[in-house]
Amino acid sequence: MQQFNYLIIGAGVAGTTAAETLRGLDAKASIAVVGDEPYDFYSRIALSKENYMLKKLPEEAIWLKKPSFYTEKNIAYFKGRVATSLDSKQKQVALDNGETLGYDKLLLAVGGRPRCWTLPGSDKKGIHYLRKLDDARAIMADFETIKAGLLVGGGFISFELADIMVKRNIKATVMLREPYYWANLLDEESGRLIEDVLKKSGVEILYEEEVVEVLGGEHAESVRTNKGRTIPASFIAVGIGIMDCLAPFKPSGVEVGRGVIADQYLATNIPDVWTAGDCAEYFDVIFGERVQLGNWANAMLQGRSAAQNMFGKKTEFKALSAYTTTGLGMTICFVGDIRVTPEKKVIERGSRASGKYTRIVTFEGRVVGAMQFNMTPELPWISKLITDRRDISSIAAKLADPKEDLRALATAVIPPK
Amino acid sequence: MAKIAKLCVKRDLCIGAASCIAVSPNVFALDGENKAVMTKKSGVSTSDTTNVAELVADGTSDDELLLAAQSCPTKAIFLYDETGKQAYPES
Repeated sequence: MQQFNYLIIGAGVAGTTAAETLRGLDAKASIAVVGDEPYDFYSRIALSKENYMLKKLPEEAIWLKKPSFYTEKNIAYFKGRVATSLDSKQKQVALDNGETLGYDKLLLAVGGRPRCWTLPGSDKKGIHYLRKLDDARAIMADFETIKAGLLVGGGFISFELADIMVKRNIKATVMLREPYYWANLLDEESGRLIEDVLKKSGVEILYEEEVVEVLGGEHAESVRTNKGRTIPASFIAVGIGIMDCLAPFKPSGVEVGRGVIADQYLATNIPDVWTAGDCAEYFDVIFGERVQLGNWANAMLQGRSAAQNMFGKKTEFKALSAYTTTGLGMTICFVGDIRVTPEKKVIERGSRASGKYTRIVTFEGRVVGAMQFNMTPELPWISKLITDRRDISSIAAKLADPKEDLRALATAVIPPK
Repeated sequence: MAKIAKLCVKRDLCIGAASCIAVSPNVFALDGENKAVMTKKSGVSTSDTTNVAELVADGTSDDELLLAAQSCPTKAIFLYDETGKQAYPES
């Protein structure tokens, strides 16, 4: 059995950043990373963007480390290996090839996986998910030949793929289970604003419709829906949510909710076990509650913080990160806590009609989050209002007027540092 | 690392992921094209090569600037030292 001072499960941005940070803090420690993909560290977030999917940049641009990174940093990389179980008493992790790795300190940075179809015919070729490099390569290979494709679900995946398909002159149809786009997260006005740009670009949207069966031979040819219709579809991309990859770790006693439960230091309930990235359900000191985020900056900064704490520092994780995307002439940004629950209020800034719209979510007179559509230049100021937790009651009315300069408004309630 | 004197954002690489803003909201913002820009004392926002001394947030530490650059998922932020040598990304 190989033994490591620091064992990191997950080779994405959280795990890789943690490994590099630990090496920076401790030149002599033994460090290992286990990653389930057969690749060196790459930019997962870039996979769905046009630089990659439209080949505006060479594919090499997605590699974020030189191939020599792991050896230069003396990091053992178990590439293409999956952790299958954790024994937190013996401090050992088993891998899918039968190997067992011992650790002094462990980081769980296993990310998430796409929610997959289980309906009849869902094993046919032509059905895609988008999470990993191989997924993106398979989608791009199909884009070379298809004339039309079906995008299932309303969210980042179908929005970004619709953008790429439009730019490639591939007819895109979006199928929504809900009555409007992204209904599980957004209000109707915001959802319709996204639909406006999709439709303007020629994307067809089907509402309140679900696939019940995929038909065809080895390859998908069409789908049957809950409305009894049969729709031709040989390319189907399914973006219906993210699930956890935590089954191997649950029996160890590590506390799991939607993600791995952790405190503000990213420490779990098990001694010497930390977590970071998409799989971490951590106590956020800005919001004063447990949250789980799935964006690049959050994962990167958590990997760094977790590593510092594993090394023995005691630093709270504090960062406000955002989800952003651009496509079809629209920029979408979500920052902070955008769940609109009954106790929260929403200040509407701009309008669907103007194409520029922000919904500022407030709780007890303070900004907690925002959804921005074509208004990302205001992100730093929204971010300051959120992180500073200042009372905005004196500027609330002006926040609703997009002609009022947000920087000036924010400066009025946030004292300079 | 030598003192950081200048920085720029390569717009063709930037995808507007906004991780630089999560790290350093006083230095970076996104423009109307969702590309990262730096805010200068003159009031101008630009992606072009800018002296650290010209930034509104001219007291930003090298550590913060480096972390902002390292956090970029497309390595679009370039840092240069006083001699003009590229300090990040490592070439």
